[in-house]
Amino acid sequence: MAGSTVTVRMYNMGFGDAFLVTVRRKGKVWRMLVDCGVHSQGQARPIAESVKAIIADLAAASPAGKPQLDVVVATHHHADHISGFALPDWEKVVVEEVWLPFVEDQSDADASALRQAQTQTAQRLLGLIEQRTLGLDPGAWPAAVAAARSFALNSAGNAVATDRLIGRNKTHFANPGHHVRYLPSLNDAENEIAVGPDQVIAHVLGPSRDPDELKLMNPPASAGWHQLDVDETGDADDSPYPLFNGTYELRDRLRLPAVLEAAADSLQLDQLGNDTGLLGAASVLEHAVNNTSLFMVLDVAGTRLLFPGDAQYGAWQHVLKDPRKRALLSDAAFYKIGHHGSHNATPREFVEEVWTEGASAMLPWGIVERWKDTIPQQQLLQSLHDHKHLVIRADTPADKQAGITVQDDLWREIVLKTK
Amino acid sequence: MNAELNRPAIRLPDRRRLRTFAFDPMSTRLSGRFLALDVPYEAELRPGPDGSLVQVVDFDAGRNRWYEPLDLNDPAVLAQDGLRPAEGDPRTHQQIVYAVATSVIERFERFVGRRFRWRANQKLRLVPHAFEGRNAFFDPGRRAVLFGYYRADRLDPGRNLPGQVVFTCLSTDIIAHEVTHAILHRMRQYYSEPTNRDVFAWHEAFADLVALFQHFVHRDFVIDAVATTSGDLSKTSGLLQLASEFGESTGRGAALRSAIADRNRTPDRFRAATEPHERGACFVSAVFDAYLDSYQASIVDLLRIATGGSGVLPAGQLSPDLVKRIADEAVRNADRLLGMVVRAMDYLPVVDVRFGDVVRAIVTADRALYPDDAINLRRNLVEALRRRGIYPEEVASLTDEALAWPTADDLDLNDPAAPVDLRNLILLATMDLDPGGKAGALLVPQQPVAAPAPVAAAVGDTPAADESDADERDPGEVLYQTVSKWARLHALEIGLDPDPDLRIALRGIHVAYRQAADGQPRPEVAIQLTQRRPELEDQQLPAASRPRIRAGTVLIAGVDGRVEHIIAKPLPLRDDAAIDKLPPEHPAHEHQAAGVRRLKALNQWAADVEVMDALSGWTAEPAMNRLTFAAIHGEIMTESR
Repeated sequence: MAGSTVTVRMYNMGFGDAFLVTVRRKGKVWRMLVDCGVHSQGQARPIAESVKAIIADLAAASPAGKPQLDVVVATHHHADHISGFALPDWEKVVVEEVWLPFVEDQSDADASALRQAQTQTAQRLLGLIEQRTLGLDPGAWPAAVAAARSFALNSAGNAVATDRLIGRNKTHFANPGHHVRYLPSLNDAENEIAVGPDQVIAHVLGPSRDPDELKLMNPPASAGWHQLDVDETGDADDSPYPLFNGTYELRDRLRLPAVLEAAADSLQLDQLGNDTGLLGAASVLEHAVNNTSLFMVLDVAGTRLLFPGDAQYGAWQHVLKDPRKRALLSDAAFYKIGHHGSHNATPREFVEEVWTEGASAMLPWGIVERWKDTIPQQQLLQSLHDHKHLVIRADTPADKQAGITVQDDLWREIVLKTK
Repeated sequence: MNAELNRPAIRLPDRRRLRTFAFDPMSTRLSGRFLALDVPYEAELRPGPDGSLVQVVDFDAGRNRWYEPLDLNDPAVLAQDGLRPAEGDPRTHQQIVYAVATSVIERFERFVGRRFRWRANQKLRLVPHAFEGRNAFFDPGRRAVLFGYYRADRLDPGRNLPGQVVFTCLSTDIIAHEVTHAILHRMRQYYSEPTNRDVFAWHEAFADLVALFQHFVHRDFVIDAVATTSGDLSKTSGLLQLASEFGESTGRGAALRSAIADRNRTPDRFRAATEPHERGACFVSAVFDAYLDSYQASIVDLLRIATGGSGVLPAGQLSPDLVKRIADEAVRNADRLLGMVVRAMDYLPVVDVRFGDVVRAIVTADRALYPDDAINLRRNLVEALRRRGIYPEEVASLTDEALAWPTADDLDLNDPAAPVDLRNLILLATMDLDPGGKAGALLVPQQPVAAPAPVAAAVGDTPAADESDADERDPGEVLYQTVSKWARLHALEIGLDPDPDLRIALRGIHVAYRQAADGQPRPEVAIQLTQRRPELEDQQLPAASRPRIRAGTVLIAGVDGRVEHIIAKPLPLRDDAAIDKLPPEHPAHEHQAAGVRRLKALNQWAADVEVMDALSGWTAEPAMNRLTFAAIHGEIMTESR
């Protein structure tokens, strides 16, 4: 039928995601918002302005001027994907359904243990960073510690946004008691969701519910963790404790053999701080939360749109090794580039071997000073270019590419025709 | 000690006994047992303790304080086998780290057949209270083992008090494990470069093996284990487990690792394992499979004698005499099996080791000494390893002949065109053999000062200046030059590149005397050569952060200079046309093919490491450089999944 389209509008949040998908088909209009958040250190504009703009667009699109969404997808609980939902403006928006990764399901014992471990780990990391930087001017923080803090912050403190998405603690959208789906379901039939107009299906491909793969999302079980002394209780008593009776302390330095003193000097034990370990642990947490991402293909009468959240190495392998899931990715007309274009969120195998050529991709990206040289990865952009994909970046000022609508620096939009 | 007290003067003792926990404070509290380690008596031992090989530095940087250093030569200490270990007295902590480290090194020396020395005689430093944290690790840059302390888990402290202070330096297992990392680093410094997934796993496997077999040093403990299990050692708990207190106090609910945790003798776990401790544990399990098999075989006759021929033990306790005879067999088998693995050390490649290489090294080394394998020890081990999926990929079969490293035809270090004079080296090594006598002078092969600047800045291997007469040429330099010259002349035969711009470095040369089945010593020369290939490294990275690419070859030769084995890790030749004219049977063709395969594997591995690393998306520093001893390898706490 003529006039059937899918529109993807990428809001320029900065270093964060917000994608409004509108399907117009057989006289029906169906709207889905995938994520709404931004990293605290990479905002294109204050988050409140971004949210107001999105809601204003929704209101303008609605005949009655009442902002409405059929589905909100929150791919994973990082600030750069959900922080926007903390704002009270959402109380004006009617949301029929919210889709969340199953790890947010509090009635699922495994999931809630995992979720709790991730949150506690983030809190404990922030505690360790606080100890480490006590009395230091923020400008004088070691780079590794500052980076570790931004990872931990990204995973911690998104409670209000999560409350609204789940509709608990008196935080909700315009219609309290909206329907929440935790995906994927253990019942495979529920992972193909027919939505809105005819022949529109959302295929939920991840995250994995395999217990072995779940362990990879549990940061305290990951390598290198224990050296940070992350106590399970999370409320460790950090006050110094005596090791030995004072009589064993050598107070008269003249009694100290010179060779031992020289040895201690050369050992430089005061520089034994474990900043790299702290950063390593924080990055494992970041990676683990990314891999809880809801991984989804929206299929509009054969035109497929791939939204992998921020799935990274591990979560992608779960999808690629399954022939049925792999086939769904192969002819995608649109790909939301995972994790702002970072190194291991778009497998080389996907670009080189699985995905067709000549499709479109959107890159949600804004500058964060410390990652400006590494994200997005230039090799990835080059290889997308080599495979003749159209790459639309949130940050490019005046886009002259065909088929793209640009609204100042607020959003970019692409319209895909369907059967 | 005052040697003038008695007339005629009394000779100093050969041995010193020092008490330790068995094998950590928690286990000692539960069993009431302490152990006494028997270590060499160092007359020159200073307060610290500060000996010739290890130096205990008890400075607590976190609290900025020194603890009183212990003088082990204090008569009050000497008269009671060292201080009684106590968690509350830091001097006993110093005693324990000194005693265990010294004991491990001595045991190692015994198996490897030569006196052990650190590079340039620089002591290993042991810091018992280095930092607060659930960790202990060997730090090659600091030449030190750093022990952490921490408070036990508040929710799941095992058989400890919640929040009690736990010292990793009091666990003999942790000390033995970390000191073994240091020893292995001394023998093969480039195993600190994780060029495939086996390199760190081998470090872990070897450290765990030495720590586990260290338990068998204590005969009383073994007797106890035999008595309580009626000889079935697979049912013991303490004997075959590592770091019980550490494991329980960190919320694991069990010892950190067990030699026999996985009783399924299948290759599945090894094939799937990538994490170094996990992968190493597969090797350890296989060695203990072989241990238990050999042990069972060696006591069947005792059991038959004790049961009037049936071999079936009655219910109840064994006779104490039988227990002692069985325990002796348990200890003897442990020594033989550990000896087999340790002796293989000189036969390991100098870079890029794989578990398949370890199997080949074990077989080659053991076969030279025990050609008949009369008690099936080697066969048992090869079979146990095979069942767990550990075998070399490039061999035709698992027979001794196929597994042994290739032999060399007509290669001799006494090549008139570039002769290597081994006489001085052999003399010094022979002097070293007398444990009570004066050691031979230190001979450090080193690059002559006048030579061009080294291509590779190797970690921590800058040799100290020799004390030789300034007028003479340094014997270490002469050795370095002659061996390098010989190696360049024979580069194509031994898997190195003859290109004059590529330096061939002599990393080590040792003479060892090992005892063979016939009771005779077998002297042998082991030579380690390396060659860095900067042009093969990732040119897109800044020069300083490029992961190094090195070829390396170990030569095993007789003391007469005849080369017996070539253990090569080659790389593709710079000028591959150089081998076109060589006859088809020349070894260079095989080295070239292996070099091409190896370079491909190295690059694939670097890419895999990059994609698996959680930080790699965020930084331009290659992930390979984050795989360090402190981060992964020396760290004993990483949980095996």
